[in-house]
This record gives sequence, C-alpha cells and structure tokens, in this order.
Amino acid sequence: MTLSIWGVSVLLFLAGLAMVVLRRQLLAMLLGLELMINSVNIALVYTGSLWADAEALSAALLILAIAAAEVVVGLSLILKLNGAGAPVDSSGLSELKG
Amino acid sequence: MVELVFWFSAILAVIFASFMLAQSSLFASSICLLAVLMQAATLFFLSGAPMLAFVQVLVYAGAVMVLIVVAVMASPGPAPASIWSRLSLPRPLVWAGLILPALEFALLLWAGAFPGGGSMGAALSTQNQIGPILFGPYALATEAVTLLMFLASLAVLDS
Repeated sequence: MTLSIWGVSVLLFLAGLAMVVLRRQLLAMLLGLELMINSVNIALVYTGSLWADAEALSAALLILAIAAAEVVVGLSLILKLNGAGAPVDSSGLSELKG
Repeated sequence: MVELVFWFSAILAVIFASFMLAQSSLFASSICLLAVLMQAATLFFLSGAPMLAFVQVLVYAGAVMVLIVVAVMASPGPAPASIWSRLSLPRPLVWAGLILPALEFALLLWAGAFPGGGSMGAALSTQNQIGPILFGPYALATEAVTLLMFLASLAVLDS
C-alpha cells in the first residue's frame, strides 16, 4: 500500500503542476497549487501514520492551516486585481510595479 | 475491504484531478477539486488518521472551497482557452464525486474495518500527542501559523 499511496500522491502532484503550468487563469493556477499541497499532505499523513509519528501528523496539521491562509491571501489578491481592472490572465501580469 | 476502498478512492482522486486539469470552466474545476479533497480525506482515514480526515473535510472541503467558489462567482469569466474548452463535466459525475466519499466512509464504518494496521484506539493515542507537540517543541511554528492566519484575515478585510 505504501507504493500505491506514494504513486497516487505523485500523480496528484503532477496534475497540480500541470494545472499551474498549462492554465493561464490565476484562479486555476491557485487551484493547481492547492492540489499540489494536498498531494504532499497525503504522503506525509500516510508516512506519519505508518511510523506512528505524531510530529509528522502535527506538521500535516500545520500545512493544512498554512494552505488555508495561502488560499485566503491568494484569493484576496486576485479579487483585488479584478477590482482594479487588471487582466485575470497571468500572461498580462509579467511586470512588477515600482 | 480496506484495500478495495483504498483503490476506489485513489482512482477517483486521480480521475477527478485529471478532469480538473481538463475543464476550462473554473466552476467545474472547483467542483473537481472538491471531489479530490474529499477523496484525500478518505485516504487520510485509510492511513489511520481520522482526526486529520475530519479537519480536511471541515477546513479544506468546507471553508476553503466555499471561499474559492465565491471568488469564482465574483470574478469575471474570461474566454475559455482553446484546447481545453471542448470538455464539459457531466452532472451525474459531479454527484458521484460528492456522494461517493460519504459512501466510502459509511462502508468502512459498517464493515467495522479500521485501516492503518491498528485499532481506532491506537490511532487516537498517536493523535492525542499532536496537541502537546504543537504547543511544546513546535510552539514557535504554531504561533507563526496563527499570525499568518490573522494577517490573511486582514487581507480579506482589506479587499
């Protein structure tokens, strides 16, 4: 089962990575990022449970909290960009201001 | 039983992840992500971490997905990209993605099968150590994450 879990984790990570690389919409890229974080968490939780390692499960809980905060910050940035009339496409956001 | 549910859940997670990649509609992609997150919660449970499975459903599949769907509804929809735009998500598939995780949990509970190679008590005793670890040696990291979540809430207020 160990190899299967890691295989599933790798497949989900690759799907998330492909979403970040291939899609141009900012929200779609954020969804891909979430998928990547979640795939890493699957492998971490399984490995932590396999060795009865409470520290790994604590790290997984912290990753969940960080991912939730990251979604909130990302969504608020995207909504702010939408409100400012900026393009929702990442190809239009290639330069920094300043 | 555990193996069967594991393979079912793993295959569904990969299928919905590929659907998520292939959909041009952000709303359909969000629904597919929700299905993947629910299957991930099942995988957490199958790994012997029922508390993390509960947190996953509560925080990720609950709160975060509501935020994402609201943001998708609030943002203007661009024209779909070329090669990804020809697929659409059948409605029965959406229902299957949302209902099947609940059926998997019900099947595991009905069969009395607890995965992870141990009993529910053993898994819970491992998870009982999470609190002392988070507020003991990892207190600084926990405080940093708490501060990050506070700053994230300020970002929402600002926008």
